Amino acid sequence: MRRAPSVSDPMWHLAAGVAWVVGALGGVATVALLGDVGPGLLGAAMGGGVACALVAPVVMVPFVAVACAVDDRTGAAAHWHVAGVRSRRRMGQRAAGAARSLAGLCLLGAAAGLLAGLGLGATGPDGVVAGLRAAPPWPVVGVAAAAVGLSLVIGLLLAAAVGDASLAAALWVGAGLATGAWSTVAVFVPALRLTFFAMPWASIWPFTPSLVDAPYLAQAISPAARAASAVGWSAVLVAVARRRLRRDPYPTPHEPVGGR
Amino acid sequence: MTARWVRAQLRRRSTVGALVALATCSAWFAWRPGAANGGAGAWHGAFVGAAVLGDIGLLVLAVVAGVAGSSIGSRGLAAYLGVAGARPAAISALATWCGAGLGLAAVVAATVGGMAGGVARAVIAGWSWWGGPAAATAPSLAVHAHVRTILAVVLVGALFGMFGSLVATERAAAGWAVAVVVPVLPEMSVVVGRWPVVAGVLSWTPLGAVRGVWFAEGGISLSGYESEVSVARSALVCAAWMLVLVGFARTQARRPVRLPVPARPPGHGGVGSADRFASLRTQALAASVVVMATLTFGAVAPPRLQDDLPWRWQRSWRAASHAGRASDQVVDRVVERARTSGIAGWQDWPEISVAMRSGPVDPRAADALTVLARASSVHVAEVKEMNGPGEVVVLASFVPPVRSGNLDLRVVAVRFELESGPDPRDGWHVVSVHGAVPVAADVVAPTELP
Repeated sequence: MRRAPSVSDPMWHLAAGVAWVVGALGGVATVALLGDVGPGLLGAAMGGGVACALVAPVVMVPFVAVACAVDDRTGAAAHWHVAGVRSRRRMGQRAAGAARSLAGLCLLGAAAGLLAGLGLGATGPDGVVAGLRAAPPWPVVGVAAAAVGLSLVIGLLLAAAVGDASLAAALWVGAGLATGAWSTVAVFVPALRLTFFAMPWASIWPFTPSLVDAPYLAQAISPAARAASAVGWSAVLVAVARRRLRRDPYPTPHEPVGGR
Repeated sequence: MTARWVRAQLRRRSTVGALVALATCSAWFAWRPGAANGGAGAWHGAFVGAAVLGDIGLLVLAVVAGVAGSSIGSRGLAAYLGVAGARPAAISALATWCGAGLGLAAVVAATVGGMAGGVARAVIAGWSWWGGPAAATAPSLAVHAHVRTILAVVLVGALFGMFGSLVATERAAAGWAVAVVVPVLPEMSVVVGRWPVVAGVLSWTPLGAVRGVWFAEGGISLSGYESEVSVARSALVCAAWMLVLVGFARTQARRPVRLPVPARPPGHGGVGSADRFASLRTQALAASVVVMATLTFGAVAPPRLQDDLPWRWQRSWRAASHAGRASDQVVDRVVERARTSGIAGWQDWPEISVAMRSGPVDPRAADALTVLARASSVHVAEVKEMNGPGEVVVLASFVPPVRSGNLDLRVVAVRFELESGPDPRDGWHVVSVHGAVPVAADVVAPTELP
């Protein structure tokens, strides 16, 4: 089990398309979204990669979940079990494969950002500069790296808890929609604002009053509340995953598969 | 056969998921807080929810119908039907009717979702049938419009079913459906609306023509884009496209029937060098197209997006701000100068515009500056508090309050109007000063008045 097949899965082609678009936008974000000076080529590449990493917890989690649950989907989980590979190790390997894919996607985003930055520099008033001009600040790069790790953890936990790739992806998207719906309802029922931190996406909710003007979506969540929400939901997912992995009637290593 | 195939499609997890998502969107649309429509309850919810079908529901329907149409060929049913003696036209008709059936299913899903959302809205509003007195205006329940919506949705389903039958794989059919539908979604008007030419071209596409008949519009929803395209022209374009599609489907159907063959076993045969070269050529072509598209995006999109940014993120404002000549910084200096050096000769200050310097002295401006000079403390509005770059409000506080007439003024406001020169680095200059206007004051009792 040295090579995870998730990298070659056609699903990642779609993820690559998403990463390319996000990276291209991230490469020119300083001009297009912030109105600032155009980036240097290295800055544009960094912007593209960082943009891909920042959207990973929202966009890439379904892909990670699908990659981590591939053995359950194809029925290979039982065979790995028979071969003596424990569930924890198997899913760890799948997560490692997904991590390599995520890193590749960030590099792809960086390439897209570089090309978009080149197009902008060649035609814009700021010219083509090779350096790190208008590159994302280093704290943002750190946050982006943390976002990639977070998306890996969420995708892995979802896959382990649910065991079905499509259901895991649907749950993640549905949880996001539910969190958004809760946010809009909280505008009309202020008491609900206090409970917003209990929603599944509260820990990574990107819309804050300082960032967006949309009153329906903007929620001021303290870092402590975000951390509490993340810990709480992680604990729930870990508990469900442990129970599922223990309950699944996989054959023991000494028992023939499917036979009596 | 058609009903059986439609039932088989409705049992697919992807179709069920899509229809549930559609119903959820409709429920949300009928229920959402702050909605402009005042309608509630199952009856009106059914009408409101169906409106989603002209929006994001169109995408869902197109993908589902396209995949269903493609699955007849890609899953081998067409080949077996051909062997069994079914005529090619019958197979095309199967895909078309299947798409129409799924269109009907989409209408049902949207209607049920809308009814659920309407009932939820009625319950939340205290069983108010219209959602509260503020929204008591009865919405127009145009039944004929609803019937037109149903017919249009069924037609779109049929079109995409037929369209899907021409595509080899389900994934390609879904991709084509997304590519065809996304440009005409109302959400895309922000992008497409920049180029009326593109909007005009879209009205000639199959879906643009259907939208033109459906909503009596130019084929695409654009804010501020008034199209003169008539419904009759849209109907003619739609009919022409249907003829083209039917003709193309018949041409495709005349091709010899191909039975599904098992995949080539690994290790046997192999791809010839000519095939490998063709594959490499295709990949190189695709890569060069992607690279060119990204370079073009970088050259075209950012400047246009930058023009639409809020004023405080515009490059001209940033340049003035970096030079210390943004409007709030200019007003800050004027106020500071008035409070430290007095207002003598204020018309000659460099922050004052040339027009104000050369014109007659404005006594109201001098009065306002005097108020600022005598205030206990002042607060110049921060950038996020400003309504626009050319207007800065300064609040002046007085402790103890200053009596004016029968008012004890505690806080007054002075408004500065500024203009920017042609070069952003020249910065902003004051063109007029208005005020002072009471903001916080106490009314003095008549007994305390002198």
